[in-house]
Amino acid sequence: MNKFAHLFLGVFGLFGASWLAFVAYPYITFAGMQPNKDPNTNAVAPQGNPGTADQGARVYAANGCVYCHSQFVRDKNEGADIDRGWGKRRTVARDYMFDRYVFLGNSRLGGDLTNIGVRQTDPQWFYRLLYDPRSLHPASVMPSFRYLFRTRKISGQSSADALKLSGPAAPPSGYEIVPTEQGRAIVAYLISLKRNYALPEAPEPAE
Amino acid sequence: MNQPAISEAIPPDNLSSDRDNRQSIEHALRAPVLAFLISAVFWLLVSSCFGLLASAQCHRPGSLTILANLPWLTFGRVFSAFQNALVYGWLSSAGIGVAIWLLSRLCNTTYRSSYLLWLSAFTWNTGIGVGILSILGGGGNSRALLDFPFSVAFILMLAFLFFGIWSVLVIWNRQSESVYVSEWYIFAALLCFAWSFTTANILLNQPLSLIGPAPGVSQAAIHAWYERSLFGLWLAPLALAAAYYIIPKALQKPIYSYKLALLGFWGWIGCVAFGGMVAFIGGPFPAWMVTVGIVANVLALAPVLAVAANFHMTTRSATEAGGPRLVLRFVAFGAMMFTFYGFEAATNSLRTISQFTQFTLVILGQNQLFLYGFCSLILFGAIYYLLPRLLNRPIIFKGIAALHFWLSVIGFALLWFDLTIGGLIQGFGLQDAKVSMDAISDLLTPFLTLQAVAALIIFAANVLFAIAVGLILLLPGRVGNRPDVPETSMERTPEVTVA
Repeated sequence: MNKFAHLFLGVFGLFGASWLAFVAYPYITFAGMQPNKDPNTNAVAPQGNPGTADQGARVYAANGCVYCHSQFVRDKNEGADIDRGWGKRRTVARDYMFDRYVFLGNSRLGGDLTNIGVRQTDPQWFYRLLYDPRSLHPASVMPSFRYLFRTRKISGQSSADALKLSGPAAPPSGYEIVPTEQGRAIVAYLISLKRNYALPEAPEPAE
Repeated sequence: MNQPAISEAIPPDNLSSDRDNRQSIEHALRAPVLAFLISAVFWLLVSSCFGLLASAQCHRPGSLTILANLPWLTFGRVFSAFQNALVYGWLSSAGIGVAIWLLSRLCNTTYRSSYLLWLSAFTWNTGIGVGILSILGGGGNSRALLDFPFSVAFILMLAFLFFGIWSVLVIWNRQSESVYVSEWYIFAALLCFAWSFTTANILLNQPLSLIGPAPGVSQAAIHAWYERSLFGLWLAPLALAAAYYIIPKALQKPIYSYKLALLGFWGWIGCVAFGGMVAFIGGPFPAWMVTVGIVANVLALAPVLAVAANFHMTTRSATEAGGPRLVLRFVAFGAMMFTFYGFEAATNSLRTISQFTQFTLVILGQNQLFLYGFCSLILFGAIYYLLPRLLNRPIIFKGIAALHFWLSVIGFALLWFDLTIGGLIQGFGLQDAKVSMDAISDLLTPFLTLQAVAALIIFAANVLFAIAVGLILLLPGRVGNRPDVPETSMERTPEVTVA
């Protein structure tokens, strides 16, 4: 048993060190984080997410959005993220402290979504993108998520979040295409992605 | 560590007095090993179907409008199903099957029961089946290779527990004095996988625990640590264990250097788990976490080179007369890809280079280099080596297997070059804010098309592999006593020269 005991102790020690550094340390450090309170305005940032956004994060997870979209902004000397307008400053650990699901991501086949709720505020834009991505970005390889929508008969007034489509994509007259509950939730989540408040540890870089 | 006994430099099951014991081991294990290997081949086919579908969607998303109405076939879910079927279904099951065989042979164990293995094989495959269905059904977590919901992860933990208990019993009841290199790797893999898989699933995916989900970005740190451990301390050791067994056996000569093997093993265990954070260079973490990752990936080159040198010196000047050259071709190619992966992982960690490779297809190519070029190729070779011995059949369908080799190598090489070149173009584009995302998508179109072609070639290769395995299993071979099998000639004690 002697040799297997050596083996066990060696592997246990070395792998345990990595466990301490990359599991225990971040867990403890980030659990004790406090939001920032601006000394002048008394504004607290970041603030928690509304409940619908958390539901939307589940939809985001279920459909694997993270395999093409990242959610973090690097400093100006690390990449072109800020020049691309994906954020005014780098993101730091505090930006994610209230997120139940953190999707940093490591692929950018699509754009970064850290601040998508700052860039686009109109739900219609998101609905159109999800329904038919190539109507907004012709070369995009984003899948179309029509299953987040349903066609239904207009009863009385047409609903406010019905898709405004024209031409062959439009539904037959008397019908409308509206987002399902999941469709609404994911758009609420995307619109909630705003990391545009100031944090002392991540000042906005000079132009 | 003690001074190496000479017998530690070769797989120690060469003594003819052990042959009876080995035959009885083989008899007891035949069925459960086959269960793991056959299910592995099945998951390989499933995963390459998903891979094909995912790459086809990237190639022409607009023309596949039918898929837009089918939630279970949307790209994100299919891609995730592809990765999980590949890693847990194919690589892990095949790795476990090969490890069972190696461990009981090398330990020359007196433990015979295969009850735990049956339980493990059944639970493991149930878990993977349910897991893939739940990913397709929208229950995935969108954490790469931790996509399975917690309930499924729990089933897999149980399966692994059964396998783990079996392994401990085998080691406990061993008869051989020495501990061969393959056993080090298998033992480390068992420990590290059990540890990292439980940690990561409890902290990230457990829905109603007091300690999960982990707070804020520690989720991403734990995930990166898990992914790196899964690659470096589960899949890689299983593949290397097979290579350390097959190369000296096939060449009938001992491993070149015990010291290089030691360096390769301990250096790798010490470095690899620290390297995960390079996925988040510039990310929201304390700077030291990323820096440690970069340093670890560069330091990991030392053990990678030690392993490469050891294999190279062993195969150099070997007389290949009569050896199973086809098996050796698979294993040697896989081992070379391990070295190559070590270089690519180190290079892509450096900040000057990672600015152009981070977030791009280059990383996808690097992962495929590891999963397909390295692990899968070695496991293909290991299965071609193991199956005829397990079934006492001399036949290996050389024509089909040779075609399988060339198709996998060509498909993999095409995929890697395509992803790397396309990824670099994407990376240079991303670094220049004047190039719009739409323009980058345009530039990537031909590469995504070529990716689908490569996926098709790999699919064909995998089908050929399944056919070859099926033929070995189904066609009646020359079932007889050991001496009828030609390979027996290699199992005589080789003349040992330890460097």
